[in-house]
Amino acid sequence: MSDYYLFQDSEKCIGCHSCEVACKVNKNLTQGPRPCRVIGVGPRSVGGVPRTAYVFMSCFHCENPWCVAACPTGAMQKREKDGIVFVDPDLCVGCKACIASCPWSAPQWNPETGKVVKCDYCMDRIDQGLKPACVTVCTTQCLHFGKPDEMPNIRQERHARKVAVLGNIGVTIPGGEADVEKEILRLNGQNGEGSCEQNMAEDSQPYFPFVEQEKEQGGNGKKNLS
Amino acid sequence: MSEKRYSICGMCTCRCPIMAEVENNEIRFLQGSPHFPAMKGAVCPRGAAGPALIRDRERPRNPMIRVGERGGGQWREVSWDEALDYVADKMKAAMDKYGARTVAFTDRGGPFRDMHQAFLRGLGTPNYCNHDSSCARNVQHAALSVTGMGRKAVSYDLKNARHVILQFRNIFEAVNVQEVNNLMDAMDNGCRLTVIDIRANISASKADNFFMIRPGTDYAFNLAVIRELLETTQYNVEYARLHIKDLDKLAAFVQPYTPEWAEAETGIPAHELRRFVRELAQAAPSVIWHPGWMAARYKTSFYVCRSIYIINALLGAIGAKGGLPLVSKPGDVGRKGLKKLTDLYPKPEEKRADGVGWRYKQFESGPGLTHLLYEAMDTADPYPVKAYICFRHDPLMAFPEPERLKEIFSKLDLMVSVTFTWSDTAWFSDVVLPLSPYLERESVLACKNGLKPYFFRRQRVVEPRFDTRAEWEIWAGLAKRLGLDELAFESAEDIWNFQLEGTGVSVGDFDATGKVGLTDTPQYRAMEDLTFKTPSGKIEMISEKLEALDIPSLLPYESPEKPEEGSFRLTFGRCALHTQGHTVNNPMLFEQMPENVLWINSGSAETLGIADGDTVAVTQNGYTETIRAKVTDFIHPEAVFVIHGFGHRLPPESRARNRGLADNKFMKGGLDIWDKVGGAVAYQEHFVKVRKV
Repeated sequence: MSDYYLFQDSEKCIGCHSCEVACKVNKNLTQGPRPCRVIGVGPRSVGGVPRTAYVFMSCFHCENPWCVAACPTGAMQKREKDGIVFVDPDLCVGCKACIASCPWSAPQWNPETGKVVKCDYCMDRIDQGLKPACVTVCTTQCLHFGKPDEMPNIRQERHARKVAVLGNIGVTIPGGEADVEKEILRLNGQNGEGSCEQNMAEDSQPYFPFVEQEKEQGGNGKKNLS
Repeated sequence: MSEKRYSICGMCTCRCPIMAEVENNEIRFLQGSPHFPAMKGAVCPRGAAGPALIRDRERPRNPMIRVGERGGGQWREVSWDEALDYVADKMKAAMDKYGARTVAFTDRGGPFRDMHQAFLRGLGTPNYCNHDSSCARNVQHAALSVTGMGRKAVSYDLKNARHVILQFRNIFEAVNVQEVNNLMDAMDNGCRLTVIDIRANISASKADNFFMIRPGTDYAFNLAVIRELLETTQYNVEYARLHIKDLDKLAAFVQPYTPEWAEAETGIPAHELRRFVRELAQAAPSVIWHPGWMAARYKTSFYVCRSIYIINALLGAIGAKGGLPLVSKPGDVGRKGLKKLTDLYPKPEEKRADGVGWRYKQFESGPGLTHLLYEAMDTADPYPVKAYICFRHDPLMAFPEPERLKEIFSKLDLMVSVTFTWSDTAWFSDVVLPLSPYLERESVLACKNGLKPYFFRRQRVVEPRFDTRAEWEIWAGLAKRLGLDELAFESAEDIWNFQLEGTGVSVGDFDATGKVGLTDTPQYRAMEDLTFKTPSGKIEMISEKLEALDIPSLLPYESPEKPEEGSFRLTFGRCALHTQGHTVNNPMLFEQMPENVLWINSGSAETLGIADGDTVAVTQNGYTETIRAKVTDFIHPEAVFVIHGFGHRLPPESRARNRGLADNKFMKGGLDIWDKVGGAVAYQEHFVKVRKV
């Protein structure tokens, strides 16, 4: 793995594809190659509301990248200093061995140059202290990039905010006590129909957006989590 | 060494502030301005595709004069001098024969209009129209009828909202970056989102409540909400006492409209509506029921917009923090506004050709009603309109019945298109004046009224790569030839200096961030201090102006037509990737979404033997196009839906050509089907048949 972590906060992603367009414009690519992609799955009904999952995919920058091993010319490389997997276009002969070897189709074919292009986390930008193009322009800033130990844990923090309201500890709700009660009602499904447990399950939806649906279909609602 | 330049995006009408890093007249990187916190440095996909627009050669690159038949696609490339001489001569000839009022001009509205509006005033024609009769006119007139103020007299304080309702608005799909982020942040802080729509759009996929409403029954739903708020005293009693006039008449009017009654109309269960109203009351007054953007939908959409303003008022949200606070203008914060070029000339005394303000007294005269302008072109009633300039506007894609419009435009002596992309309208014009895309041009300075009003500037980020010009260069060139020396500016800087006179701001002040703030603190007003510009100074349930014209302020509900077996109501909307028709041929955006698909309900599709991905024929009155079907549970069975802007047929657009379906060609008689009180065209009053091919 590279020294970096690119995290997509799927709860905030609206599937606008701004990341993809900015990536391509920044790499001066024409039609065809797509070094990063957001693929929408859905909508499906989850607890009575439509939900669509937007899955961001680029390159995982593997610890042992098969594309590097497959490359016969040494064009595909893993950068010594931070583990970024990148392709040197001067050495690429367009054999497509890397494309064939990657389980996630990260290397992309560029018909204009007859060579491969792939996500390199915009390493020229990183070296200037900037973030990758996709992260920089992301409409909702749902893409986050950095060293893993410096990244905020958005899921934990979001979950904590909700739990903190339930316990009424250390959280100020505008409007005071009356609003705290409303907030508890809200989180409990308005009319007290839902249990806290269900709400906890709902909190998991951003990772496994269709858990609730599967529960309705007879699953235990946990199977995706295991 | 790269340089940072701040400007304003032009890929859609949101006009987001942007920052470009430029080196050797090339854009190295383009992103949202970091000096606007809610931009978060972001751009939407259209904004990200801006550099692809300027690199694209498939756009008008030189001035062109038509040779051969209108619409025949035969052009003579000419110099700017020849093009402007030609246009000015033709305008003069028409004005000599019919008077200055024979000149008409349409645009897509926005903050950069002062110079061309001044140009029209200088000529002496009242016939300026913007595209709003195909968009938000019903919202504007509804706002005026309820509050006495236009729709932009309030802002949407999404960041502080506790419940946002989207009915004629789709914030997470028709993307305005700052709105998206403000709403997203509010939702992270517990704000609820409710979407009322005929299909599950992307906003619905983020919502807490989604009501898939029967098409055309929004008014029924809203009337029942009003009734429930009043009946259960969940409205803001103190606010109503201070600010609402004729609440008793409203209460009497909504008596029949119970949630149970609404359920039969809308398909939304009464208990769901009641629960939703309780949520609204809990969040009030920090509630925004968005009055809508594209509300040109049904013949009575004006009344839906009116009901939305009424609900916002009942919740005490109009004027409230987290609701719809009143905006400040420069004068409200003790500053002087931009000096107007329009004030160089007196307002023309001629009556408007579209009849607005005299034949149709219910309408605000400013931007008129474009479809009625076309009627005047057709009939020469009240007088002949013979010279027409279309600025960044494509009525042949935007209005119903393009073939009929072409017949009308054929009666013109001169039709000019000022545009940075090809369009059906440009193709049908006599002269194409190629506009530099926004990254290659300046505009006049503009002012954004808001909680914190500010001036902002669109500047040239890179020099034009083809023989295109900025709009001010085009207007100045025409002004010079038509004797309007006051507008014959030599540089954008001269215009900006004129505008800034007496404001205490200088042109250089825009360099650092692209904007100049006029106050540091947001100007919220206390509930007691609110005043409205109606005759009574209150929010009016009964509008004297409408009543005096025998127009009801509160319209009794009428159930919309149901489609026949095998027929569907044709509906359309926006997506994040395209702005109507003008982005479809952009190489980056085309790749993302090369064509539109027809949303059709799974049950209806099964009956018709249509599977997801099948090619289907859509027909109305003998006209047919084909499109791929998207079969889904998430659209109401009475409707089909497409993203608007597809179905291009122009030879110079190699990518967009012959891809997808053009919804406006399925609106027979549609130029005559419009909202007589709101003024907008009623686009969703048309039905189509769908079959598998």
